[in-house]
Amino acid sequence: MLERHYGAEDFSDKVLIQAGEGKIRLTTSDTIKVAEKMRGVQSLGLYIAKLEGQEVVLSIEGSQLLCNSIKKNWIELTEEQARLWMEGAPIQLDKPTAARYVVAFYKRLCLGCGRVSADGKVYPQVPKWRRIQRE
Amino acid sequence: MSTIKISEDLRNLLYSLPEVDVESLLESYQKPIRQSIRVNTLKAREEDVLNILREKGVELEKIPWTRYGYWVINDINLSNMLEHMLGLIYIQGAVSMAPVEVLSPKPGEFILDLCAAPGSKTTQIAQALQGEGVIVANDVNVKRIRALSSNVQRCGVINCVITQADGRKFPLWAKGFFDKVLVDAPCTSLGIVSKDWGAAKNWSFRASERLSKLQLSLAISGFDCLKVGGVMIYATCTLSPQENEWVIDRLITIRPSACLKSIKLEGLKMSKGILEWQHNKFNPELEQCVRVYPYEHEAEGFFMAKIVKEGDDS
Repeated sequence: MLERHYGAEDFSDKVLIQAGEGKIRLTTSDTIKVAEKMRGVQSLGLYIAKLEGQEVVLSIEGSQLLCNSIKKNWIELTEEQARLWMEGAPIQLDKPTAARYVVAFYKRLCLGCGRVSADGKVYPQVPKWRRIQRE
Repeated sequence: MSTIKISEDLRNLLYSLPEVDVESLLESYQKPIRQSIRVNTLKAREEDVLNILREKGVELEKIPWTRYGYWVINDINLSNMLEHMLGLIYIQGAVSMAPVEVLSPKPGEFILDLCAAPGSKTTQIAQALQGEGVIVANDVNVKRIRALSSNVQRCGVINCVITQADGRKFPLWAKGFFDKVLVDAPCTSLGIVSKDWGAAKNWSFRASERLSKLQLSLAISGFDCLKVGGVMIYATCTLSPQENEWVIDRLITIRPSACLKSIKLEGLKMSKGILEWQHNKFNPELEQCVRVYPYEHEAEGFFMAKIVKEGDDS
Protein backbone atom coordinates (compact mmCIF):
# COMPACT_ATOMS: atom_id res chain seq x y z
CA MET A 1 0.00 0.00 0.00
CA LEU A 2 2.86 2.36 0.84
CA GLU A 3 4.36 1.63 -2.57
CA ARG A 4 1.03 2.31 -4.28
CA HIS A 5 0.27 5.57 -2.43
CA TYR A 6 3.65 7.18 -1.97
CA GLY A 7 6.06 5.11 -4.06
CA ALA A 8 7.79 4.40 -0.75
CA GLU A 9 9.66 1.34 0.42
CA ASP A 10 8.41 -0.77 3.30
CA PHE A 11 9.77 -0.96 6.87
CA SER A 12 11.24 -4.36 6.06
CA ASP A 13 13.50 -4.86 9.07
CA LYS A 14 10.89 -3.76 11.62
CA VAL A 15 7.54 -5.11 12.83
CA LEU A 16 4.21 -3.51 11.96
CA ILE A 17 1.32 -4.09 14.33
CA GLN A 18 -2.32 -3.07 14.12
CA ALA A 19 -3.47 -1.29 17.28
CA GLY A 20 -7.19 -0.76 16.85
CA GLU A 21 -9.23 1.58 14.58
CA GLY A 22 -6.90 0.87 11.67
CA LYS A 23 -3.91 2.40 13.47
CA ILE A 24 -0.54 0.95 12.54
CA ARG A 25 2.45 1.05 14.87
CA LEU A 26 6.06 0.29 14.07
CA THR A 27 8.28 -1.50 16.51
CA THR A 28 10.96 -4.17 16.83
CA SER A 29 10.67 -7.89 17.60
CA ASP A 30 12.63 -7.38 20.85
CA THR A 31 10.12 -4.72 21.97
CA ILE A 32 7.23 -7.15 21.42
CA LYS A 33 9.04 -9.87 23.39
CA VAL A 34 9.64 -7.50 26.30
CA ALA A 35 6.04 -6.21 26.19
CA GLU A 36 4.76 -9.79 26.50
CA LYS A 37 6.58 -10.06 29.82
CA MET A 38 5.32 -6.75 31.25
CA ARG A 39 2.02 -5.91 32.95
CA GLY A 40 -0.12 -2.82 32.46
CA VAL A 41 1.09 -2.28 28.88
CA GLN A 42 -0.47 0.90 27.46
CA SER A 43 1.32 1.03 24.13
CA LEU A 44 4.42 -0.06 22.32
CA GLY A 45 6.32 1.24 19.35
CA LEU A 46 5.54 4.26 17.24
CA TYR A 47 2.23 5.26 15.65
CA ILE A 48 3.09 5.63 11.98
CA ALA A 49 -0.12 5.42 9.97
CA LYS A 50 -3.85 4.97 9.89
CA LEU A 51 -5.71 2.92 7.30
CA GLU A 52 -8.79 4.71 5.95
CA GLY A 53 -10.43 2.30 3.56
CA GLN A 54 -7.89 1.80 0.80
CA GLU A 55 -5.86 4.86 1.84
CA VAL A 56 -2.78 5.01 4.05
CA VAL A 57 -2.64 8.20 6.13
CA LEU A 58 0.90 8.60 7.45
CA SER A 59 1.49 10.23 10.84
CA ILE A 60 4.21 12.87 11.14
CA GLU A 61 6.63 10.19 12.35
CA GLY A 62 5.53 7.72 9.65
CA SER A 63 6.23 10.30 6.95
CA GLN A 64 9.58 11.22 8.53
CA LEU A 65 10.69 7.58 8.58
CA LEU A 66 9.83 7.24 4.89
CA CYS A 67 11.00 10.73 4.01
CA ASN A 68 13.79 9.70 1.67
CA SER A 69 11.73 7.17 -0.25
CA ILE A 70 8.47 9.06 -0.85
CA LYS A 71 8.27 9.57 -4.62
CA LYS A 72 4.69 10.60 -5.32
CA ASN A 73 1.68 12.38 -3.80
CA TRP A 74 3.72 14.95 -1.95
CA ILE A 75 3.78 18.75 -1.83
CA GLU A 76 6.52 21.23 -0.98
CA LEU A 77 5.70 23.99 1.50
CA THR A 78 7.26 27.39 2.06
CA GLU A 79 8.32 28.36 5.59
CA GLU A 80 5.11 30.32 6.06
CA GLN A 81 3.00 27.43 4.77
CA ALA A 82 4.90 24.99 7.03
CA ARG A 83 3.93 27.10 10.05
CA LEU A 84 0.32 27.24 8.88
CA TRP A 85 0.38 23.47 8.37
CA MET A 86 1.58 22.89 11.92
CA GLU A 87 -1.12 25.28 13.15
CA GLY A 88 -3.63 22.96 11.47
CA ALA A 89 -4.67 25.52 8.84
CA PRO A 90 -5.54 24.40 5.27
CA ILE A 91 -3.07 25.03 2.43
CA GLN A 92 -4.19 25.98 -1.09
CA LEU A 93 -2.70 23.63 -3.70
CA ASP A 94 -0.88 25.20 -6.71
CA LYS A 95 -2.12 22.51 -9.07
CA PRO A 96 -4.88 19.92 -8.80
CA THR A 97 -4.15 16.35 -7.71
CA ALA A 98 -6.14 13.14 -7.93
CA ALA A 99 -4.72 11.89 -4.63
CA ARG A 100 -6.93 11.95 -1.52
CA TYR A 101 -3.94 12.37 0.78
CA VAL A 102 -0.57 14.00 0.20
CA VAL A 103 2.59 14.22 2.31
CA ALA A 104 3.93 17.71 3.04
CA PHE A 105 7.64 18.55 2.88
CA TYR A 106 9.33 21.65 4.18
CA LYS A 107 12.96 21.69 3.07
CA ARG A 108 14.02 18.15 4.00
CA LEU A 109 11.51 17.78 6.82
CA CYS A 110 8.35 15.70 6.50
CA LEU A 111 5.26 17.13 8.18
CA GLY A 112 2.83 14.24 7.83
CA CYS A 113 -0.25 13.83 5.65
CA GLY A 114 -2.99 16.21 4.61
CA ARG A 115 -6.40 15.41 3.18
CA VAL A 116 -7.08 16.89 -0.25
CA SER A 117 -10.56 18.36 -0.53
CA ALA A 118 -12.67 19.19 -3.57
CA ASP A 119 -11.96 22.94 -3.11
CA GLY A 120 -8.29 22.34 -3.92
CA LYS A 121 -7.12 22.80 -0.36
CA VAL A 122 -5.10 20.37 1.77
CA TYR A 123 -6.23 19.91 5.35
CA PRO A 124 -3.26 18.83 7.51
CA GLN A 125 -3.87 15.83 9.76
CA VAL A 126 -1.85 17.31 12.61
CA PRO A 127 -3.25 16.17 15.97
CA LYS A 128 -4.32 19.01 18.26
CA TRP A 129 -1.57 18.33 20.80
CA ARG A 130 1.07 18.73 18.04
CA ARG A 131 -0.19 22.07 16.75
CA ILE A 132 1.80 25.24 17.24
CA GLN A 133 0.05 28.40 18.41
CA ARG A 134 -0.71 31.15 15.90
CA GLU A 135 1.82 33.97 16.32
CA MET B 1 9.31 42.13 42.44
CA SER B 2 7.65 39.61 44.78
CA THR B 3 9.77 37.57 47.16
CA ILE B 4 9.69 33.84 47.58
CA LYS B 5 8.11 32.53 50.79
CA ILE B 6 9.63 29.48 52.38
CA SER B 7 8.17 27.35 55.15
CA GLU B 8 9.73 27.23 58.61
CA ASP B 9 10.57 23.55 58.08
CA LEU B 10 12.40 24.35 54.85
CA ARG B 11 14.38 27.14 56.50
CA ASN B 12 15.43 24.66 59.20
CA LEU B 13 16.33 22.07 56.58
CA LEU B 14 18.45 24.42 54.50
CA TYR B 15 20.47 25.65 57.50
CA SER B 16 20.99 22.01 58.59
CA LEU B 17 22.66 21.06 55.30
CA PRO B 18 26.46 21.21 55.39
CA GLU B 19 28.18 23.08 52.55
CA VAL B 20 24.98 24.62 51.17
CA ASP B 21 25.19 28.32 50.39
CA VAL B 22 21.68 29.16 51.59
CA GLU B 23 21.80 32.77 50.40
CA SER B 24 22.77 31.76 46.86
CA LEU B 25 20.17 29.02 46.92
CA LEU B 26 17.35 31.39 47.87
CA GLU B 27 18.55 33.86 45.27
CA SER B 28 18.54 31.11 42.60
CA TYR B 29 14.96 30.18 43.53
CA GLN B 30 13.86 33.66 42.44
CA LYS B 31 15.42 33.42 38.98
CA PRO B 32 14.14 31.36 36.06
CA ILE B 33 16.15 28.27 35.16
CA ARG B 34 18.33 28.75 32.07
CA GLN B 35 16.67 27.38 28.95
CA SER B 36 18.27 24.32 27.42
CA ILE B 37 17.54 21.74 24.75
CA ARG B 38 18.61 18.32 23.66
CA VAL B 39 19.01 17.71 19.94
CA ASN B 40 17.09 14.53 19.08
CA THR B 41 19.31 12.50 16.80
CA LEU B 42 16.57 9.89 16.36
CA LYS B 43 14.98 12.39 14.00
CA ALA B 44 17.84 14.21 12.29
CA ARG B 45 21.60 14.72 12.29
CA GLU B 46 22.82 16.95 15.09
CA GLU B 47 24.65 19.31 12.73
CA ASP B 48 21.58 19.74 10.51
CA VAL B 49 19.37 20.64 13.49
CA LEU B 50 21.94 23.09 14.83
CA ASN B 51 22.12 24.77 11.43
CA ILE B 52 18.32 25.07 11.21
CA LEU B 53 18.18 26.61 14.69
CA ARG B 54 21.03 29.03 14.03
CA GLU B 55 19.37 30.14 10.78
CA LYS B 56 16.34 31.02 12.91
CA GLY B 57 18.44 33.10 15.27
CA VAL B 58 18.68 30.64 18.16
CA GLU B 59 22.02 31.15 19.94
CA LEU B 60 23.38 27.95 21.42
CA GLU B 61 26.20 26.92 23.70
CA LYS B 62 27.26 23.32 24.32
CA ILE B 63 26.54 21.86 27.76
CA PRO B 64 29.77 20.05 28.65
CA TRP B 65 28.34 17.12 30.63
CA THR B 66 25.78 15.89 28.14
CA ARG B 67 26.38 14.66 24.58
CA TYR B 68 23.52 16.41 22.77
CA GLY B 69 22.59 19.19 25.21
CA TYR B 70 22.80 22.94 24.52
CA TRP B 71 22.10 26.06 26.52
CA VAL B 72 19.84 28.51 24.69
CA ILE B 73 21.43 31.92 25.13
CA ASN B 74 18.73 34.22 23.79
CA ASP B 75 15.14 34.60 24.96
CA ILE B 76 13.10 32.51 22.51
CA ASN B 77 9.82 30.64 22.92
CA LEU B 78 11.10 27.21 21.88
CA SER B 79 7.89 25.37 22.72
CA ASN B 80 6.10 27.08 19.81
CA MET B 81 8.80 26.31 17.26
CA LEU B 82 8.27 23.93 14.37
CA GLU B 83 11.45 22.06 15.31
CA HIS B 84 10.08 21.33 18.78
CA MET B 85 6.73 20.06 17.50
CA LEU B 86 8.46 17.92 14.86
CA GLY B 87 10.63 16.33 17.54
CA LEU B 88 13.98 17.61 16.28
CA ILE B 89 14.64 19.14 19.68
CA TYR B 90 13.49 18.34 23.20
CA ILE B 91 13.29 21.11 25.78
CA GLN B 92 14.99 19.64 28.84
CA GLY B 93 16.77 21.05 31.87
CA ALA B 94 20.55 20.90 31.60
CA VAL B 95 21.09 19.06 34.89
CA SER B 96 18.12 16.77 34.29
CA MET B 97 20.13 15.32 31.37
CA ALA B 98 22.85 14.20 33.80
CA PRO B 99 21.23 11.01 35.25
CA VAL B 100 20.94 9.39 31.81
CA GLU B 101 24.53 10.40 30.99
CA VAL B 102 25.61 8.58 34.15
CA LEU B 103 23.38 5.58 33.31
CA SER B 104 25.15 5.51 29.92
CA PRO B 105 22.69 3.35 27.93
CA LYS B 106 24.20 1.31 25.10
CA PRO B 107 22.46 -0.03 21.96
CA GLY B 108 20.99 -3.48 22.59
CA GLU B 109 20.38 -3.06 26.32
CA PHE B 110 17.08 -3.60 28.10
CA ILE B 111 16.36 -0.54 30.25
CA LEU B 112 13.65 0.24 32.78
CA ASP B 113 12.61 3.83 33.49
CA LEU B 114 10.49 3.19 36.56
CA CYS B 115 8.97 6.66 37.10
CA ALA B 116 9.11 7.82 33.51
CA ALA B 117 6.52 10.57 32.93
CA PRO B 118 6.67 13.04 31.26
CA GLY B 119 9.42 11.26 29.32
CA SER B 120 12.43 13.58 29.12
CA LYS B 121 14.79 10.89 30.33
CA THR B 122 12.96 8.08 28.51
CA THR B 123 13.47 9.82 25.19
CA GLN B 124 17.07 10.60 26.11
CA ILE B 125 17.63 6.87 26.82
CA ALA B 126 15.96 6.02 23.50
CA GLN B 127 18.33 8.35 21.72
CA ALA B 128 21.33 6.56 23.24
CA LEU B 129 19.93 3.14 22.26
CA GLN B 130 19.64 4.22 18.60
CA GLY B 131 16.68 1.89 18.03
CA GLU B 132 18.46 -1.23 19.35
CA GLY B 133 17.43 -2.71 22.68
CA VAL B 134 14.24 -1.86 24.56
CA ILE B 135 13.07 0.74 27.07
CA VAL B 136 10.19 0.05 29.39
CA ALA B 137 8.81 3.42 30.46
CA ASN B 138 6.51 3.07 33.44
CA ASP B 139 4.41 5.48 35.42
CA VAL B 140 1.61 5.00 37.87
CA ASN B 141 -0.42 8.06 36.90
CA VAL B 142 -2.67 7.80 33.85
CA LYS B 143 -2.67 11.57 33.15
CA ARG B 144 1.10 11.68 33.22
CA ILE B 145 1.23 8.67 30.90
CA ARG B 146 -0.57 10.73 28.25
CA ALA B 147 2.28 13.25 28.34
CA LEU B 148 4.80 10.42 28.28
CA SER B 149 3.14 8.81 25.23
CA SER B 150 3.06 12.16 23.39
CA ASN B 151 6.74 12.80 24.01
CA VAL B 152 7.78 9.27 23.03
CA GLN B 153 5.78 9.68 19.82
CA ARG B 154 7.12 13.16 19.07
CA CYS B 155 10.70 11.91 19.48
CA GLY B 156 10.16 9.00 17.08
CA VAL B 157 10.93 6.16 19.49
CA ILE B 158 10.10 2.71 18.09
CA ASN B 159 11.58 0.49 20.83
CA CYS B 160 9.62 1.64 23.88
CA VAL B 161 6.95 -0.17 25.88
CA ILE B 162 4.81 2.20 27.96
CA THR B 163 3.29 0.63 31.06
CA GLN B 164 1.01 1.88 33.79
CA ALA B 165 1.80 0.09 37.02
CA ASP B 166 2.76 0.69 40.62
CA GLY B 167 6.54 0.76 40.34
CA ARG B 168 6.85 -1.02 43.69
CA LYS B 169 5.31 -4.17 42.18
CA PHE B 170 7.58 -4.44 39.14
CA PRO B 171 9.75 -7.30 40.50
CA LEU B 172 6.66 -9.53 40.50
CA TRP B 173 7.04 -9.81 36.73
CA ALA B 174 10.44 -8.33 35.89
CA LYS B 175 12.82 -9.49 38.61
CA GLY B 176 16.42 -9.67 37.35
CA PHE B 177 15.34 -8.73 33.82
CA PHE B 178 16.98 -5.39 33.02
CA ASP B 179 20.55 -4.36 32.20
CA LYS B 180 19.94 -0.86 33.54
CA VAL B 181 17.30 0.88 35.63
CA LEU B 182 16.56 4.54 36.18
CA VAL B 183 14.61 5.48 39.29
CA ASP B 184 13.91 9.19 38.92
CA ALA B 185 11.77 9.17 42.02
CA PRO B 186 8.87 11.51 42.85
CA CYS B 187 10.18 14.00 45.41
CA THR B 188 9.56 17.32 47.16
CA SER B 189 11.22 19.15 44.23
CA LEU B 190 13.50 21.52 46.14
CA GLY B 191 15.82 21.55 43.13
CA ILE B 192 13.22 23.15 40.87
CA VAL B 193 11.57 25.68 43.18
CA SER B 194 12.05 28.47 40.62
CA LYS B 195 9.47 26.63 38.47
CA ASP B 196 7.04 26.26 41.37
CA TRP B 197 7.37 28.48 44.42
CA GLY B 198 4.66 26.44 46.11
CA ALA B 199 7.21 23.66 46.70
CA ALA B 200 9.13 26.00 49.06
CA LYS B 201 6.10 27.53 50.73
CA ASN B 202 4.52 24.18 51.56
CA TRP B 203 7.63 22.08 52.22
CA SER B 204 7.53 20.02 55.44
CA PHE B 205 9.67 17.38 57.14
CA ARG B 206 6.57 15.24 57.45
CA ALA B 207 5.85 15.21 53.70
CA SER B 208 9.51 14.56 52.96
CA GLU B 209 9.61 11.63 55.38
CA ARG B 210 6.40 10.19 53.93
CA LEU B 211 7.79 10.40 50.39
CA SER B 212 11.09 8.84 51.44
CA LYS B 213 9.30 5.60 52.31
CA LEU B 214 7.84 5.45 48.80
CA GLN B 215 11.24 6.36 47.33
CA LEU B 216 12.92 3.53 49.24
CA SER B 217 10.31 1.03 48.01
CA LEU B 218 10.84 2.23 44.44
CA ALA B 219 14.63 2.05 44.78
CA ILE B 220 14.43 -1.53 46.12
CA SER B 221 11.99 -2.47 43.38
CA GLY B 222 14.20 -0.97 40.66
CA PHE B 223 17.25 -2.70 42.10
CA ASP B 224 15.49 -6.09 42.19
CA CYS B 225 14.64 -5.70 38.50
CA LEU B 226 18.36 -5.52 37.63
CA LYS B 227 20.37 -8.43 36.30
CA VAL B 228 23.51 -9.26 38.27
CA GLY B 229 26.11 -6.78 37.02
CA GLY B 230 23.39 -4.30 36.09
CA VAL B 231 23.49 -0.58 36.87
CA MET B 232 20.83 1.55 38.53
CA ILE B 233 20.71 5.31 38.85
CA TYR B 234 18.61 6.70 41.66
CA ALA B 235 17.90 10.39 41.16
CA THR B 236 15.70 13.07 42.64
CA CYS B 237 15.39 16.79 42.06
CA THR B 238 15.35 17.60 45.74
CA LEU B 239 17.88 18.50 48.42
CA SER B 240 16.51 16.76 51.50
CA PRO B 241 18.86 14.02 52.81
CA GLN B 242 15.76 12.16 53.97
CA GLU B 243 14.81 11.60 50.30
CA ASN B 244 18.35 11.06 49.08
CA GLU B 245 21.14 9.76 51.31
CA TRP B 246 18.73 8.11 53.76
CA VAL B 247 17.09 6.16 50.91
CA ILE B 248 20.42 4.95 49.52
CA ASP B 249 21.77 4.15 52.99
CA ARG B 250 18.73 1.95 53.63
CA LEU B 251 18.95 0.36 50.17
CA ILE B 252 22.57 -0.76 50.57
CA THR B 253 21.76 -2.11 54.04
CA ILE B 254 18.69 -4.06 52.89
CA ARG B 255 20.37 -5.26 49.67
CA PRO B 256 24.01 -6.10 50.49
CA SER B 257 24.79 -6.75 46.80
CA ALA B 258 24.11 -3.07 46.05
CA CYS B 259 27.44 -1.38 45.56
CA LEU B 260 27.81 2.38 45.17
CA LYS B 261 30.06 3.67 42.39
CA SER B 262 31.57 7.08 41.84
CA ILE B 263 30.05 9.54 39.37
CA LYS B 264 32.08 11.66 37.01
CA LEU B 265 30.66 14.17 34.55
CA GLU B 266 32.79 16.74 32.81
CA GLY B 267 32.02 20.33 33.71
CA LEU B 268 29.23 19.60 36.18
CA LYS B 269 29.87 21.10 39.62
CA MET B 270 28.95 18.39 42.10
CA SER B 271 29.16 18.04 45.89
CA LYS B 272 29.66 14.72 47.63
CA GLY B 273 26.81 12.93 49.38
CA ILE B 274 26.18 13.99 52.98
CA LEU B 275 27.41 11.54 55.65
CA GLU B 276 25.92 13.14 58.76
CA TRP B 277 22.62 14.93 59.03
CA GLN B 278 20.59 15.69 62.13
CA HIS B 279 20.59 12.45 64.17
CA ASN B 280 21.59 10.30 61.16
CA LYS B 281 25.05 8.89 60.43
CA PHE B 282 25.16 7.36 56.99
CA ASN B 283 27.44 4.68 55.51
CA PRO B 284 30.74 6.33 54.43
CA GLU B 285 30.18 4.85 50.94
CA LEU B 286 27.49 7.48 50.47
CA GLU B 287 30.20 10.00 49.78
CA GLN B 288 30.06 8.60 46.23
CA CYS B 289 26.57 9.99 45.70
CA VAL B 290 26.47 13.47 44.22
CA ARG B 291 24.48 16.64 44.83
CA VAL B 292 24.11 19.44 42.33
CA TYR B 293 22.80 22.71 43.75
CA PRO B 294 20.59 25.03 41.65
CA TYR B 295 22.95 28.01 42.03
CA GLU B 296 25.90 26.15 40.48
CA HIS B 297 24.63 26.32 36.90
CA GLU B 298 21.43 28.41 37.08
CA ALA B 299 19.73 25.08 36.50
CA GLU B 300 17.90 22.44 38.50
CA GLY B 301 19.23 20.91 41.69
CA PHE B 302 19.70 17.15 41.60
CA PHE B 303 20.84 14.19 43.66
CA MET B 304 22.25 11.09 41.96
CA ALA B 305 23.49 7.71 43.14
CA LYS B 306 25.00 5.06 40.87
CA ILE B 307 24.46 1.53 42.14
CA VAL B 308 25.78 -1.72 40.69
CA LYS B 309 24.21 -5.09 41.51
CA GLU B 310 27.16 -7.28 42.35
CA GLY B 311 25.30 -10.45 43.29
CA ASP B 312 21.90 -11.93 43.95
CA ASP B 313 20.55 -11.24 47.44
CA SER B 314 17.35 -13.25 47.08
